[in-house]
Amino acid sequence: MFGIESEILAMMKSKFTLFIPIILFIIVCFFLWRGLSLNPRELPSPFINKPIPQFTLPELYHPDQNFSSTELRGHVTLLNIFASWCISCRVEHAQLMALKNQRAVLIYGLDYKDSPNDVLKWLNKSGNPYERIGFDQIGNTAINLGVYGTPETFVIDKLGIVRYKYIGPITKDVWESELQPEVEKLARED
Amino acid sequence: MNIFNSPHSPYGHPLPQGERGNLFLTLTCFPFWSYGRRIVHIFAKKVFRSPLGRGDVFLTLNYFSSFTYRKKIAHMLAKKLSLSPLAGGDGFLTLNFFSFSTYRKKMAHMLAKKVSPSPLAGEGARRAGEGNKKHIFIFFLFLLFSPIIFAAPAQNIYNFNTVGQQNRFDDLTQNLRCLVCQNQTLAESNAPLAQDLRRQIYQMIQTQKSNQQIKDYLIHRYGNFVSYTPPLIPSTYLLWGLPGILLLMGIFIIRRLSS
Repeated sequence: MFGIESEILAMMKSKFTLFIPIILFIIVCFFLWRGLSLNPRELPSPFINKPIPQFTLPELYHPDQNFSSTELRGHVTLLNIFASWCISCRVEHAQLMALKNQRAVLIYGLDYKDSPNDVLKWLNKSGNPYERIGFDQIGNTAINLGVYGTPETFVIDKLGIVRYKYIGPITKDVWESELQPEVEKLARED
Repeated sequence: MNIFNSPHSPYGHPLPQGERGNLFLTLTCFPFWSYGRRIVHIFAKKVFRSPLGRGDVFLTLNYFSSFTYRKKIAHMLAKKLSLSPLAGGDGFLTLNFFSFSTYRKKMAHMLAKKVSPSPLAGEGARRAGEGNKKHIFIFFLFLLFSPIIFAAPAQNIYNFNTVGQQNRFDDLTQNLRCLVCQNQTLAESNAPLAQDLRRQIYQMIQTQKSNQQIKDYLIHRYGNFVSYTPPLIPSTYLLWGLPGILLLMGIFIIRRLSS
């Protein structure tokens, strides 16, 4: 009686070892499949749910005035880091203009490592979607904001806290699927 | 890399340097091709007028991005070479990183054609007992040769008071990640952001900040991703623990097999 039971046990055991390779295969497949839907270039901002870092920059259109991070309060705002030399920024420009015309959200700009002549020429020609623009010529403010490429866009709530960050050009799709729900949610907060 | 003094020189004997003057030009990784163009112009001019009586020209054109532009350079060089006073000299042309292989072939043909009717088929060849054989070497060295080696010294623009500070700077930049080209360290990358961050690190070392403070400064802004050494936090337990787990599993399996 015991003899038969231990034989069955041994058989089950050897059958189980046969399955080890396929189990490992399934595990590896799972990780590889997961890897397909990850974008390793997109880094989560360490500032999510933290106040936007303090900065004070000259305002592009009024160099005698300052544009400071304290102005990003009281409304839900987008802080868009852009430059006139940045091709993707030109891609998103039309969408930003549309948002301004629809009064969907207040957009503030941070002009990253640019020449004042170039950027003014570009904005005067194709329109200025920004309420105010900080002019960051050396790029130190951008470093303090953890910017590593233009365009990047922070969604900032009424208390001046970063709630979302989008990296890359804002297209109509991106606005409707990612940023608009966020902005509308934040607008309902007190 | 000194082909001139090697027994394999096209002359069959070592070439005395100086007498024949060698010119090595390496144009690597220039970010603005217009800038590259300017250098090539200057270069071509120099060679044309130079006192390199029977000189040798090494030209390495790396990484040129505009395809039509490469063609123009090749034409220009071929012209200059055949007109040049490099009588008896050798033209070494190293074109790296060309992306169109058919084009490379075409260029080689063209150069061979241009060069052979030139006065280069002169004394040097006779001395080597090679008659009118071609003594022009066209080297196509791809990939491995170029950008990394030559691009690296470009960033040594910071002077430190002590060797210790220099070592710290090297150490830090080699262990922090460039956010733009994410498989390069801050030391290797020539992205504008990497240059800015190197400047920041330099300034922080000058103001007596500790290595930890500098790392914290970057991690605060860019997250843990910027560090090549991941911290020990819940999401990295598996990463740090896996080698140990695998080792234990290995020991376990070996013991099972040997018993």
